[in-house]
Amino acid sequence: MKKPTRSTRLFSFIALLFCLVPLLQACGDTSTNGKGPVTITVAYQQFGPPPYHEEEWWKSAKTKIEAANPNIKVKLMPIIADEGSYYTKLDLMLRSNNPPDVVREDSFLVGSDVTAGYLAPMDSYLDKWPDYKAQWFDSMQKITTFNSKNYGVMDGTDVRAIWFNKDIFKKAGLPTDWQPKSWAEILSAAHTIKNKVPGVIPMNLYSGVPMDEASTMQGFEMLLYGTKDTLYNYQNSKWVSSSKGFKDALNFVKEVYNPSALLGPTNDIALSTTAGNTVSQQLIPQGKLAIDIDGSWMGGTWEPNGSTPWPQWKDTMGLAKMPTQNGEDPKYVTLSGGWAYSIAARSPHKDQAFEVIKNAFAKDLLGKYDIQTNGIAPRKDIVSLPEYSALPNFPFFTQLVDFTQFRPGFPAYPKISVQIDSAMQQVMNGKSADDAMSAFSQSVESIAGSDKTEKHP
Amino acid sequence: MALTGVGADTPQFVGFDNFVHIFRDGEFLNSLRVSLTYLVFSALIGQAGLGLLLALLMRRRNIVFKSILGAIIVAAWVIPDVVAGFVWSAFLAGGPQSVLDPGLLNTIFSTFGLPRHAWLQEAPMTMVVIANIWRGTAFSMLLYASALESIPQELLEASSIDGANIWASLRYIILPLIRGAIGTDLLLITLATLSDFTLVYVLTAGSNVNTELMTIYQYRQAFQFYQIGYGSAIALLIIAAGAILSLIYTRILRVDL
Repeated sequence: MKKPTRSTRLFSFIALLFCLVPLLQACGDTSTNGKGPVTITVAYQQFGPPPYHEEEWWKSAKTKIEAANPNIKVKLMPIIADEGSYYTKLDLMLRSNNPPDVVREDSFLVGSDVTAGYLAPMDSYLDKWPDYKAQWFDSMQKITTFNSKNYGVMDGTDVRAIWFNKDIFKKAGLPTDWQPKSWAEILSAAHTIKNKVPGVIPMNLYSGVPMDEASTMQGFEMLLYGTKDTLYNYQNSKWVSSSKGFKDALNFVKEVYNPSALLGPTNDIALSTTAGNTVSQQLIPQGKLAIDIDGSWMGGTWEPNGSTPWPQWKDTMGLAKMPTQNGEDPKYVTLSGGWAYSIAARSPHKDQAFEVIKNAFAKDLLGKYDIQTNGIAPRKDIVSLPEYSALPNFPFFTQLVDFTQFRPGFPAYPKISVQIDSAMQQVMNGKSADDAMSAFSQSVESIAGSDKTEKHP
Repeated sequence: MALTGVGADTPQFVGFDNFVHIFRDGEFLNSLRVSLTYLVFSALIGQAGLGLLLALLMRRRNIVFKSILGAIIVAAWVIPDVVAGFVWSAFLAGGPQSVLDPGLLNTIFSTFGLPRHAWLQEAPMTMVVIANIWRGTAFSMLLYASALESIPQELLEASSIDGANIWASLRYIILPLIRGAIGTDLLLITLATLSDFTLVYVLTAGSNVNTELMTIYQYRQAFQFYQIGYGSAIALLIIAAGAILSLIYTRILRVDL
């Protein structure tokens, strides 16, 4: 017999591969044959140590939905990954031919994924769901709206406000029910603390590149959105690269970080990537920081199961709303983020997918989830749940959701956000607000294109 | 190619557009400059230079001295990058008027009555260079030490009889004989330093444009801004830079690796 040559060996290898194909197909999914129950896959992120609140929520939702709808099976698909890898995986799944039907995304990335064609508009379903129109705050409906179509249902949100230490305020002779009515009143309180209470950082406003999105959202945008100007003009879809409000906000940052009368933390804290942890786990519980413009989630850090348990926090820390620049209407400003569930554009069972969302987002199920995750409810009637309103400060935060604003969730935003941080860092290092703004303006033009930017006086 | 946004809906083949764009991208050119500065000061001058010096100094010392010094230097090389980063950020912590506890360096400074500094914020590039020298010197030192062992003692003795001083014997005997080791070392540390990410990212997160290495810039483009195509193009350029430098070394030192 002839010895097998290279070509015969190659041939048998290919033949073997062909034989394996049906085997692989046999392992595939056969549930899409039209009859029998439809399986709706729900994808969400799961990371870090338990408890997994999404899983608990969806498990109870699954039981309820499958009992009420014999034609729907719910399959949970936790994606175990950190936030960056979660989106990479999710985006790859959404562009495949067999995507999950219901997906959880940061409301802020919905816009990018709509542009990419991954998500389906939900208006026709939401219009027929009276609960949504009546109970979701208008702001929570707007946050998932992109090109005047709604692409998601928010499961919870967060807001930003001013935390202040009442003990330090007492020492400085300031009222413990403090509520500033303008930027000037925040700065004057900080100056008073600097003069009367030595060894304490008067105020923290996240700023500069190292703190990344916290600088932009908790820092700069809390200021900018309280002026007459904004970052993005939704009317003509252009980025506002230069405005009086932008300059005023930079000047506020400049005054906080003015080295000759420093109100903010020193550089080693402010310009480090761990500033967020330093503030919440060290400076505030140790009574070294008087005023902090920060997120509603801060309290969770100091609860018994948080990273820095601090039993006295409820008595020590006061909360005030962030005022607009000179107290202009609506008097106060806050920003929100949060996550939403959407339906994949390639899902073959959109009707059933919406049925799943609708049932999972019922008052009691969603309410339980928001309570467990320390999230601010996007549904107005959750406030009536006694466990929810018993959470410290939650009624206060929920009332802010009424006038909350959000970031322009467009693909260019992450890059522009870095440019805002860089403008903040420049004024911290002594550059004038005018110079920092013109540098910002140039960068935005090169990121978004000069036809997509405009300058306001 | 992008994972989200318009680019994900209609992926297009852009040919060399990404590369053309890169060379007009000020931030990329900045990161190239940062990477080369980091390479020259921390790897070529710092690790290779200091490594050679230490290897020469440790020659023919007594075994106790050798093993203690060796252990200290090698310890820096053994610990993981992330740990090294945290060790350095703890060492450099604190600053003037800071309410936080000062790090070891600032404690030493104030003990001697010198002013404190926020080291990582005031001189980030110098600090990452020093940290990387501390970290990588051991590798070069070990490599040179073994090369020096192989130099026959008679050659050095003969040269000293001929009246060669220490510089002359270094220049004409030691360096030519360990040329191969120098070539290998430069090649390896260049490639390692060009692809370095963790140490600098832990210390500064590339937050200061002065410490944004090419690798950090690439990471941000690909995974923070989801521009996978552009990020890949940068990655290819990093490989190209490493390849070009490797060729230059082998050419200059005329070694066969």
